[in-house]
Amino acid sequence: MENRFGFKDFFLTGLMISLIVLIVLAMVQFDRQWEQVHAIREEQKSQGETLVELRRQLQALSARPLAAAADPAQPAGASGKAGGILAEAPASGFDPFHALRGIYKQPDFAFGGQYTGGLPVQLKKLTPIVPSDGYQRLVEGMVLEPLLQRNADTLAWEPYIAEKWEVSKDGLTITFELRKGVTFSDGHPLTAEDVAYTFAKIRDPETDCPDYKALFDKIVAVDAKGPYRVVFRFSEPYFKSLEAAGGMGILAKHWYSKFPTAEFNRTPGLLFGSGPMRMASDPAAWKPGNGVTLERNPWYWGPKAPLDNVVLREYQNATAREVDFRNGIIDFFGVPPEKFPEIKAEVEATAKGADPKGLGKRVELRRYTSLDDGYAFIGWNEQWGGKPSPFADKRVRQAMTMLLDRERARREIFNGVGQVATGPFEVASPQCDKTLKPWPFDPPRALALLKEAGWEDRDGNGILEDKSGREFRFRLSYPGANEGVVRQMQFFRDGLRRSGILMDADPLDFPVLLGKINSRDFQAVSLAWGGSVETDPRQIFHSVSIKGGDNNVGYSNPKLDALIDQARVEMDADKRNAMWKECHRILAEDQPYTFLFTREAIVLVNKRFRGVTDPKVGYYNYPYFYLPQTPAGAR
Amino acid sequence: MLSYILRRLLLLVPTLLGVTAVVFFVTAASPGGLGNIKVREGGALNQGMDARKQLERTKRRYRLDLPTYAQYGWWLHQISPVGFEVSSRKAWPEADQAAVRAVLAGLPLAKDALALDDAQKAVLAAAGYTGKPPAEVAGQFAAALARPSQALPLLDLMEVKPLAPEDEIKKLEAIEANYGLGKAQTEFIAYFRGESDGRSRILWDAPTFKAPDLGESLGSGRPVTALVAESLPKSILLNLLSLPLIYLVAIISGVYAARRPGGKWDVASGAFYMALWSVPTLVAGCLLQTFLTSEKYMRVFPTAHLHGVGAEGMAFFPSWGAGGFHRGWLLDMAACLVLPVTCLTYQGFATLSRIMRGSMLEALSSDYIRTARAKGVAEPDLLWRHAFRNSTLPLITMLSGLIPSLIGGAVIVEAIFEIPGMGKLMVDAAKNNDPDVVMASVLVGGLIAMLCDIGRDVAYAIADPRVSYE
Repeated sequence: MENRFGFKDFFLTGLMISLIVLIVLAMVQFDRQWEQVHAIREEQKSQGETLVELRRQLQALSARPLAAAADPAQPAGASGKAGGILAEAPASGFDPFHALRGIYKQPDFAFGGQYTGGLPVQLKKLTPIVPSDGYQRLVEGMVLEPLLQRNADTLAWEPYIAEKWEVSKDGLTITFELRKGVTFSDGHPLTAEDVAYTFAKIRDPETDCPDYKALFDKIVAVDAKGPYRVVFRFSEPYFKSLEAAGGMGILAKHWYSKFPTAEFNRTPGLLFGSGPMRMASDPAAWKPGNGVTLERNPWYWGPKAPLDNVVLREYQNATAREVDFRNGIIDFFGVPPEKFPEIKAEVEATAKGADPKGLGKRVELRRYTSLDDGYAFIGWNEQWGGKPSPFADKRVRQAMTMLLDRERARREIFNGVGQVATGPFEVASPQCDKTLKPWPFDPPRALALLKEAGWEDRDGNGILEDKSGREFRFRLSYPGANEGVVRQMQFFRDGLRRSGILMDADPLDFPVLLGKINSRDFQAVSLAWGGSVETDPRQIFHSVSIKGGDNNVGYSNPKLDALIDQARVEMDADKRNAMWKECHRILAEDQPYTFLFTREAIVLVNKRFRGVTDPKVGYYNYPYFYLPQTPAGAR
Repeated sequence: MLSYILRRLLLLVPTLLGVTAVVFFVTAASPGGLGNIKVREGGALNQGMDARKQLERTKRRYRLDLPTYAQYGWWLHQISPVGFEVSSRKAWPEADQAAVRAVLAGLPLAKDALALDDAQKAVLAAAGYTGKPPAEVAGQFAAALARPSQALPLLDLMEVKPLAPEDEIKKLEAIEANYGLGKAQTEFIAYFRGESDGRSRILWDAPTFKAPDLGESLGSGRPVTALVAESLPKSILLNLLSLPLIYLVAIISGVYAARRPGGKWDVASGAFYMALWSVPTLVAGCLLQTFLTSEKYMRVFPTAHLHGVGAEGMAFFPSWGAGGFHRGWLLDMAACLVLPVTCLTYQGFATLSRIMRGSMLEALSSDYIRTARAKGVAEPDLLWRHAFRNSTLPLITMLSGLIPSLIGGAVIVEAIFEIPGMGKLMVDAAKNNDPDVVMASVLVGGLIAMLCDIGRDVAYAIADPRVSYE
């Protein structure tokens, strides 16, 4: 078997080499095309912006005779400088962009740059309406826009896409007048048809959106009357109707109708709207797993966003997220309560000059409370296996609250993050009665109340018993994945034991816990509810929700039921909020839950950004950050 | 040979059936059961979205309210390439549709073409489920829809017991009073279709061929096929890089270790690989990530992910352009892959190089090697051409075990370096009790493992002429 390099080998080797060379050449060619495509896209974007500007100027021209007649002092002509007419507020009417125009006026303001954020989860879907995790909203908020928005300070509704709106006296009809000249991110105008389409999509039985269907349950019809007028009709008056109609991001009919419902349900990346940002690549081709890149919408109808790009990367591994934040790859880091003291010390060390190269040089520590952070609680189930439990007695629940040293847990376990809650409403919400104080930590008073309810230490073994000699013992179920919660429960267990109550800690996997809650198979449970500016307590505290809703603890108070029913249909905000405050007082008195803590966000933001304002609701408005002209400090 | 492969392939079917059945019933019996999905991330429930009602609807939609054996039956029917027609997807003859339409056309809701269409779908779904003639069901609907608020018993047709029907009745009454019968009927039909979503029966008529379907993920509502198609390539990429690397290093060092057993190289490489082998992947991954990616120590490689920031806008090759050196997509990805591939490979060296060494030793001490040596065959030829070829069998055996374990078992590496591959898909699905994804990953994992087994047996026959299956 002599081996010689023969003609056949020569031929094959040559073929292989030429194939490889060909492939490499093809790739080089592809690279060149890639660059060309990039150049074309850039040009297209700038053309889009020019067109929007032209359209603006045309509109201003056609509006001028009227404006001039009304206000002779109005100067004619607009400057052609950066932003041009876009930077100036409209001559008349409400300006939804007053905050952004303030940013424009900053001396160091400049366009351009990129914000890179890190998400703690993998984004599974960006398609609006169909269910996904909460962080989808963060992306959605930059791409989709609602009819109305809340004022950042007063939380009152303000015009956005809708110029004005009117709620009928009976609360059954809301009419919106849309702003003219609003366009989607391909230049297509946004009209009443798109609004009607959005709600038709939600109501379509084939659209897979159980939670949105529940939210928009009371909408009977959404009719487009002319191109800029939409009428919403509701089955019954409800205080959240305006929020439901005005707070929903509007979908583009011409774009979304390309996708049949089944495809809409299944395709993960269908995100397209009229917002300041848009997906940087074809939304239909987006795949989960690589984060998401947004670019400035060149067709934006309002003043354009300062930043060019917003990139969100996914880090389920907290260490990797922190390393990348310290490396400066991501600009934002949400600090978990357990890391707060360490990070705070590090940032402060730099401020004092102890560690000039440390974290504090590059980042800014911010803490704020958002109105949708919600609250953590312990729910006392009033029914154990169909029979009334010890917690059915109001005095026992009050005593339980007074036996739990929540303030100390907040201070020592959660490092002072958050506040002790008084009830289910957000502290900054108009529904909250701010005069209420949390129940004190007061074991003697609690024991007196327990004694009144029939629980006392009858045999001197240090444990409370009822008349029949049964020991006071219960099982507290809670999600066992969070270390802070686990430590808090151990702390509570020891505290209760000292007062003669036996608590069995029952940490569970979240799906298991959820199953137990839904079958009411628990004795007490610790969980958290998310919040919003205005919440409807009916789902959680009304007695009808014991059977069909989320009143898992079986709490019932006819007075509260009546009050909730009354407040929900009251369209006058002041009268309604007075009723909610009364509800708050009743709930604080009855303690169906022991309200534990409201949450607080602690974040680190890269210092190179300006225009960072803490959000009152939801997330930071990333596209409206800007990078100053002459970068101060480290970049 | 061919008949042997065929036989093995046919045997795959019952084995997979057994595996899936065991996994399905064990999952169903586990606390929490099938499909108790997370309602929201982070342990917080959402106000304004009735979690309980939502869960009931989701359960019906994904048939989780059926007994376990029935769910398994549905799943088998779903993945089987041969199946029966399902009532909710039945193609109704034109005559039936026309009959239904004729009955419904008299109702006030018929003014709205879309509503009429929805009503027809509702009637046909009910007719399919109950097996009654569509015209009769349509009549039943028409009669009940005279008072939509009283029409809730129609849900009995679909064997649906809604939670809190009082709310719905109240709402329908309000719509009747304020907006008239047409709107109330439309509303009822939408409610009916929403509540009975997912209810269907298998129509036991003639079986037909159909496309096998892996189902839908509960958590995201996306087809499992798409999820697997996104994850599997990432796992395969990691394997394609780490397996050859393991083999190359292990074979070379194993062969040279066998040449001088007890020599310096043998002892040193053995000890070194053993030391590597005893470091857990989790520790190694965290250490590498901390010390090689952080500015605090040394920043040599990217921290995590398969691509850096802005990779989608990069050219493919590295280039020297206006702004200096651009690393390009390829180099960017290569840099990201270094650490994960290192973590996947370093433990494999120890076992494989020892096995290689052992079988080489056996081969080198055999008669034909002595003969060859005596004949004056050059040393490299002797090692690689004669001894090596005769000691590859154990390597093949190892490969068939390594591939499946690397595909599913890379969870730790995937989690540390944020690579959403098969391992992560499986673990997430198991954690969230997402039945279709769990089953699909068992199916895919099992299939890969068994195909590797078959491949191994075939490879034996190719590598060693003494092995024959005839």
